[in-house]
Amino acid sequence: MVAERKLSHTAALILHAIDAGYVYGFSIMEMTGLPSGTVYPAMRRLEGDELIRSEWEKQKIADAEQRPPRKYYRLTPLGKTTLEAQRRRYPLLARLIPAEEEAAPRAAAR
Amino acid sequence: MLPRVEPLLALVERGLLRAARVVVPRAARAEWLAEWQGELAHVRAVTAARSRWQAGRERLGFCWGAWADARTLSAIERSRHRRFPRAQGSPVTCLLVLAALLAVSYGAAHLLPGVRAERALAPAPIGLALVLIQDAEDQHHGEPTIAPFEVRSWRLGNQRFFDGFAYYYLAQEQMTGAALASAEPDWRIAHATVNLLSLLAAPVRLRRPASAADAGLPVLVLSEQGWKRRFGADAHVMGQVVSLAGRRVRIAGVVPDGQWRLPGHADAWLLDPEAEHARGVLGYAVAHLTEQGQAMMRAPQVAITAYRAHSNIDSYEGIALGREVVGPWTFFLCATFLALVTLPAIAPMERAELSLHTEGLGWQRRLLRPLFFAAKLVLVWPIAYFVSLDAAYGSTLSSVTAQIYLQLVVGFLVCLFGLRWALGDQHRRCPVCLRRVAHPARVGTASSNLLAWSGTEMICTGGHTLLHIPGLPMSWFSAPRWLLREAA
Repeated sequence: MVAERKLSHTAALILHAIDAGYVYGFSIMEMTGLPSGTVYPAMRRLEGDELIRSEWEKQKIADAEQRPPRKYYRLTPLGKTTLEAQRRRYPLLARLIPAEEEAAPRAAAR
Repeated sequence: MLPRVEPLLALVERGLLRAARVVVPRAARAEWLAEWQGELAHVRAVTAARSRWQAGRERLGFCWGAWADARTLSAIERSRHRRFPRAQGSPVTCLLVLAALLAVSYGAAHLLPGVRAERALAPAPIGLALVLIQDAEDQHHGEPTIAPFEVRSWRLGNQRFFDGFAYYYLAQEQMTGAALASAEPDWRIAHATVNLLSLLAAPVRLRRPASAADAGLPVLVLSEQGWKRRFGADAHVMGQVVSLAGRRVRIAGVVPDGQWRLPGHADAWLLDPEAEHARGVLGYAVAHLTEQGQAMMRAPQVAITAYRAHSNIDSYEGIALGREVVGPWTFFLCATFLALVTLPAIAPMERAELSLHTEGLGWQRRLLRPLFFAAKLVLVWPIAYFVSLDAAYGSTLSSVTAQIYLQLVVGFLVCLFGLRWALGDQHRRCPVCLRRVAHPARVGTASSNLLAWSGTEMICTGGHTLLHIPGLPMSWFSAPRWLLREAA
């Protein structure tokens, strides 16, 4: 069954980070503490397995910030289902990465 | 950051990304580069507030990860175009590949004529029931001491311990003939009785005479070295008539190098019925032992007494010639021994701990793992043997010594690295399903107080186990560790 797909802890962590709102590759790296050589290949595999999908941000957003456009990632419905199953398998996942809106006040407090 | 460092750093970052882009499938290169450049711009902005060295290190570390990403994309693209789905790290695939390699190397060993000849020759021991007879008073072993008439008298007499005698003496002679561009001086010829080579069981097949006129000529058998050096290894010299010291003889065969182990080097052997009747020469006598004679050979050397007329006694010494021939199999065993001794120096010998719920594994599962390892060894070892044979004897090296060294070196290397691979592969096989773990992921970062764990995590594609490999061995976590995720 697809929902019972077995993922490694690293792949589950990345799915959780994306679901928590960290949609860019570098922000996933920062929150998970994983290097780029781990995060990006894992995201390719997750995208190949249709658990996440990638999209380019709007050009006007990039132009406004005077930088090149970035690619961001979202969970697919299959990815959401799989993540729920992985949260049962790895119950500490939720504690490892707070949601993005929770992380912002903490960063301000620092 | 120092003004000069920033452009250099930017150049290195661009170089890393563009170099990694080459690995990415062509259709995805532009988008892939745009993604990484977009992220890199963000990384530069985020790290601008950090210290110079930390920022530079982070940026370069980020760009270095592009290589792993490019390789992953390339692998995904290849797997999409694969006609047959690959069983990821399947143990059956592994054994099938090894079996195919064994079949190829075995087939080559049977098809290459040099290898076939070497395997046919090597196991047969020669001269097990032969003795070399020398004068007992001769202090210089290896010098010719026997006269032809002595051998003639032994052969004609009643013998209890011997049932065959052969004789040969050496002479330097000149050879001429149509097959030679010019007269070849200094051929070292062993004038021998007709039965010498057959008594020694030398592996040579004598060619029959082409015509009745040649049938009565003495037969000349060349050494392999002499045939290659003087006749250019021309196969058409067989059957040709040449002149040896003014006497017509017929070339009938070649003795392979390494087969002549009697005293005296010879470029060729002249099988001549008149050898036993030569005068004024001294040579060597070889005798074949009867069963009684073999029973008397309790030492490598034995005293022989010959009785002549009028109760005269001649004393001789018999030196046993029989010994096992050291062939390719013996050399390969030496190479295997050396590889086993060297293996601990280069192979990872530690076993990963299988922690947690090992009782969940049935006894059949636990037995499969060592059986799989044994199957790999059973296939790797003969592969090494046949590959060493093919490399050493399939080539056209003229020197027997060079062939032996080549077999030793190739056998040692293939054995050593084959066993190393088998051990390393076994350490990466899931204990439950025997598939290779995949998808390595670095977990954690190096900890300054050594309390946090960092290392590599790999997962069995069947989802049974995780393999954790510590980046830095600690006292509490030094060896790779298996984590069983579900009962098998």
